Amino acid sequence: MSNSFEINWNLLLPEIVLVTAALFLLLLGVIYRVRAGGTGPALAGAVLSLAGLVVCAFMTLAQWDTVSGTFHGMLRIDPFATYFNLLFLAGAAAGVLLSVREAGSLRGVAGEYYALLVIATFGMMVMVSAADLLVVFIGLETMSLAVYILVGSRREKAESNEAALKYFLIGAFASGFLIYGIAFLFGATGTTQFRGLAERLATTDGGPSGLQLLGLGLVLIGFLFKVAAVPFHMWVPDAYEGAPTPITAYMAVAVKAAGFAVLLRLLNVGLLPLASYWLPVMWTLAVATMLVGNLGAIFQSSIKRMLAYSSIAHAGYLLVALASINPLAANPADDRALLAVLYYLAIYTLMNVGAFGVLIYMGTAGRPMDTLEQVRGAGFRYPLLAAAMAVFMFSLSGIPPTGGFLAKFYVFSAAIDRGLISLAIIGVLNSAVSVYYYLRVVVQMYMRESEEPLPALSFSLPVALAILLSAWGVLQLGILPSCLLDAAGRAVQFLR
Amino acid sequence: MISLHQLLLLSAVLFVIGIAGFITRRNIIIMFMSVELMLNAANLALISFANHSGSMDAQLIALFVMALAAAEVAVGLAIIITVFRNKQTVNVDELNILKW
Repeated sequence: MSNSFEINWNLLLPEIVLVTAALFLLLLGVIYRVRAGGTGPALAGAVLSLAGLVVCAFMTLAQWDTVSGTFHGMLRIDPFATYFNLLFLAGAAAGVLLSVREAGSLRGVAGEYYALLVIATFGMMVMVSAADLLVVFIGLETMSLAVYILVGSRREKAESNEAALKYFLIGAFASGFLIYGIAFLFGATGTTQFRGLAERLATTDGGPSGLQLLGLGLVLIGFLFKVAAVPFHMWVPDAYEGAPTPITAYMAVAVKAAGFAVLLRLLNVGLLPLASYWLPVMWTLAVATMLVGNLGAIFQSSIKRMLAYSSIAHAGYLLVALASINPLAANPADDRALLAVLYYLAIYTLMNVGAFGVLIYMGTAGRPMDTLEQVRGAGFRYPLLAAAMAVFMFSLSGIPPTGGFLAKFYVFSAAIDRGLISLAIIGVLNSAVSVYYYLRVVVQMYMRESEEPLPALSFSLPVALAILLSAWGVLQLGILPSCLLDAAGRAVQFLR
Repeated sequence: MISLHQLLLLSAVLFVIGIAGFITRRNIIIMFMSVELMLNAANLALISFANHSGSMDAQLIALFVMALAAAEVAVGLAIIITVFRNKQTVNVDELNILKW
């Protein structure tokens, strides 16, 4: 850290591109508000936001070898940040693609809708590049505020309002815990920078003070709300069900990945000296989260709500990996738990985008696809869509040769490596339970007849593209995972 | 001179009042005010620590928290207004379309 006021803006080029795209999108909204509407603004918004995301992705990709800090050590661009930035951009692009079909219902707010999607992604990128708790907080709020509005973007629908309100109230409540925790960590150590925090925490004589542990606990509560770990999961089913489906997909993949990414960096850099305190917490929460998520999902008749509980269950599997982190590993790239989290989140993104994409494709304007009864007979009426859905359901339940299987395999083998045999057994049993409710969707599609004739679906290129790419990714990375694992391995090297 | 200990105690009391209000009250506006109370309790703690340690960092954080709280109010009130337009109520117990 130098005292000069030199800031390397080049490192922030991807973020600058995103914000510029968002500003143009807002402008677009205003211009089209003046002229008459139609589907024009929605399409223009989608094209512009996709262009921004793609340009940003190429710039991020160009940073793959960069390891550097800027803004006086407040931000840190390294392969870990780049890996997750690419994941968020992919999630956002999927969100845009899935939105195109429902864009007619956006009416006059298409510009703002896409702008908020882009701004939320910007917030995530700031969050995962942060090397200071203050920057984490700012990124987190930028993301959250944008997503609250997106959840409520169907202003005329009471479900959407209700979901936004519940998500907002609980999210704001969680931010209160987070900032209070940051205050205590600052009080206990005199710094909010991750590296400084680790140094001061490691050199405390006679174990950590009560103030430090209080700060740790409050900060963890703040983040665990965001990643939907039990007992901080109450908002998930409501927010996921009430939100427009493309936004549900975006929340399930990008918001969750952002929460885990920042948790990984915080735990592995700033709070590593307190590992003996947070590892058991992760263990307990992993068990509770897997149980609640899987048991809740069994009883759902709405597929969207089932996928919401499934996302809680998957947070549980990811917490198993966090509980298996080896704080003493000399080289973080050798820690299989870290690799497992990165691989898992990438696969999780693909399979959720795919599953929600199929739901969106199967629904029509007058008949949104939601309950299990509605997919009856889809296997014969829409063979390609049903086949894709089956792939995603197999992958979510962890059946080979899909990516979902390898992801779970890496997580549980990491747990066994660390001697957490009971945790791995609980995880595998939970995974077996989850097969029931995932395969129920497949059974309904292929082995039940529909009571009413299923409507003909109009072809939608963007949604089809999202589904196709996800299905290809899930299978490709399930059979040949090495390229993703190499990238993840390089990313985690810079974690400590 | 007020000691650090007393200031932290005050901030803890405010924070707990915020949590209690959020959990027990059913009026959305009051729940929202409770959340704001929690954020301000955190700000008080930050400023007390900054004053105690003589570092400006935490004062800066408190400024950022205020700005973000203002943004949160803007978004939150907008959401509450859309809810009220559709349902004519600000009682969370009457918002029950979504439940298992």
